[in-house]
Amino acid sequence: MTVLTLKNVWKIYEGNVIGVEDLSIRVEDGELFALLGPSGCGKSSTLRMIAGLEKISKGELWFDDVLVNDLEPRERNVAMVFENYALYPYLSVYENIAFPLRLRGMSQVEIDRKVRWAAEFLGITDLLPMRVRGLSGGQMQAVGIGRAIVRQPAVLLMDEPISHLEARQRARMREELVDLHSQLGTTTIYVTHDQVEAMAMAHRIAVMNLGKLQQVGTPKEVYNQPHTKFVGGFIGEPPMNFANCELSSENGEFYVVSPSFKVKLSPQAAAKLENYHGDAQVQLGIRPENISVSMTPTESSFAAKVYVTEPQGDRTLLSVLLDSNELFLIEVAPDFFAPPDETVYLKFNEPIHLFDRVEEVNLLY
Amino acid sequence: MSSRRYILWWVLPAAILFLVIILIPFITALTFSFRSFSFTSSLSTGQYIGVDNYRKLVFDNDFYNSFKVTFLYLVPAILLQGILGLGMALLISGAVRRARILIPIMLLPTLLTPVVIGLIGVLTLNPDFGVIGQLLKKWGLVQGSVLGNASTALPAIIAVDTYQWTPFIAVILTAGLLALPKEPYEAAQVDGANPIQTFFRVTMPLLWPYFVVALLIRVIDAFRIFDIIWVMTRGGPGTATETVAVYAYRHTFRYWDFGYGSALIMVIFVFISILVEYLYKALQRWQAAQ
Repeated sequence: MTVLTLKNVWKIYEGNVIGVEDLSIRVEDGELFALLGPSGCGKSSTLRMIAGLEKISKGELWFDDVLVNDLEPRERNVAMVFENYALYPYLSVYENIAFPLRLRGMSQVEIDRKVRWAAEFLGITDLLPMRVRGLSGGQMQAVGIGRAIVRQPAVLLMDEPISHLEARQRARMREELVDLHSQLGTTTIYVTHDQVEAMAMAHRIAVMNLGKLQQVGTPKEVYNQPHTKFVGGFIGEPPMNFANCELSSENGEFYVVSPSFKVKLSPQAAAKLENYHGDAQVQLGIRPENISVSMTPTESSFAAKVYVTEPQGDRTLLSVLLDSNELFLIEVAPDFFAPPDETVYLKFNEPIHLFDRVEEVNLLY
Repeated sequence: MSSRRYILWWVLPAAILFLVIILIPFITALTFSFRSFSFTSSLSTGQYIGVDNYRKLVFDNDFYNSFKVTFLYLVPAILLQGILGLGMALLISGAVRRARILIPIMLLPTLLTPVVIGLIGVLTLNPDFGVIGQLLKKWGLVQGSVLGNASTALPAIIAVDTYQWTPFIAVILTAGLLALPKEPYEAAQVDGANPIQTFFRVTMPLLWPYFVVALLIRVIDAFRIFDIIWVMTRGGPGTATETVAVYAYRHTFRYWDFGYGSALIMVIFVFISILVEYLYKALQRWQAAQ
């Protein structure tokens, strides 16, 4: 039962390369917390600093009210599940899981009880006598997880644990991990580059990019209220569409204007912009499901040219070219079809996001 | 040309080399071992005497003694070289990672011919002007000459052999250490291993296959030790340092008894084969049981 706090944590590598920049996060007791971002965003460095495998260059790391910066990994009572499993290849499944217990000099009776508990928990009891070399990726990771949970750690760290599995197995492991967490209730930090994984599993997500924290929030929050353009574009599949435009006001109403369209902002959005004094150059962001398409013009719709229609079975993805030469991806009904170069009419629905073009922060949240 | 025949042409040079260098001498020695080469018979072919050489060998106490001497040399020498080689590899592997040039420097003693190594041994152990021989005499550890004393001659040979071969083991283990995966180390760190536990529970098991290879090569090699001993003691004093190879050499090229010498060599060959096979299997089983 541990609350984990990072206070202004930096990781600076040799040659002044910044891995993690001024990161402050508080992970609550029993939370399943995801660190999400593309490769090189600093999420793995953060995890390794929490594990103690890498030194913290600056800042503080607290487990409850203990400052752990200078503690060795073995003094932190953390367990880690590795991306490439990191099993002991010369040991059996049983001995791999028993390894951390043997290091603590536990009695054989106690070890046996705990190993069997973990194996049963993960449904790998029949693998126990086997050597790890011949196991499949999913089985190996189950062993890795068994080794991590067998000693009831204060914090459970998972570094892309299922990213090497094939898609179907990954989906099943995702569910198993959520189930595992809800039964164990251990504070868990889960690193992934896959936004689907983070959205599906985590209580809260910290989105990182280029070493910087972009946003912390529940899956709903980061999806519906992205604080930065990066978060908006990274979360959601297919991704958010962006268009360069200008802000203008007429008779107390706010409009977003581009060569292709002119959209009136909602009163709530307009209220948020009252205090905005930046450049009028902004970027509009809108998700593929928030655009409606019709073959005939409607009120406040604008024209675009069909580029490609991609049927997906449960839905169809329509890409269109705006007059400004920007490509937009739109989710439409599964039976929708329009030939290339056909003119269609688009209409934006709420929520619309506006990002500052330089700072790339969301102006509406 | 068909691809089969094409392959044959590529294999042929190696096959001829194998035939000339290994197979023909081996078969010759095998046929010699069933013959007697006394001056009354033709010296080139000898006289067929069946298994008499082998029968003689079974009752030859000097032959058994040479086996005993071989083991008295081999077991401590290889244990010593294994331990020192491991220590050397652990000390130096970090430095080697940064400076690969250390490997050929380390290997210098191994690259010297055993005869030269033997001469170095003779000279340094000389009680009158050898660096080590003088010290041993001054401290009263050895009466007179190290190599002239039945109880110190074999340890001296072990020491010289260790000087030559420890770097070889160290180099193999260094290469092994540098090739070890880093993930199990990180896992062990997080799992709570202290440095000593890490060494015995991670490094040693991962390094074990390299160890087995190095030791097996050394066992085969040590069984055939000849040059160093011949240069340093000629098997003496008495038969104190007479290993199987020295014994076979003495019969073949000193007593000109090619038949008996060949029989000795055949027995040694079979023995090494069985020993290596057994050791390899045993080490594998030991590893599997871990």
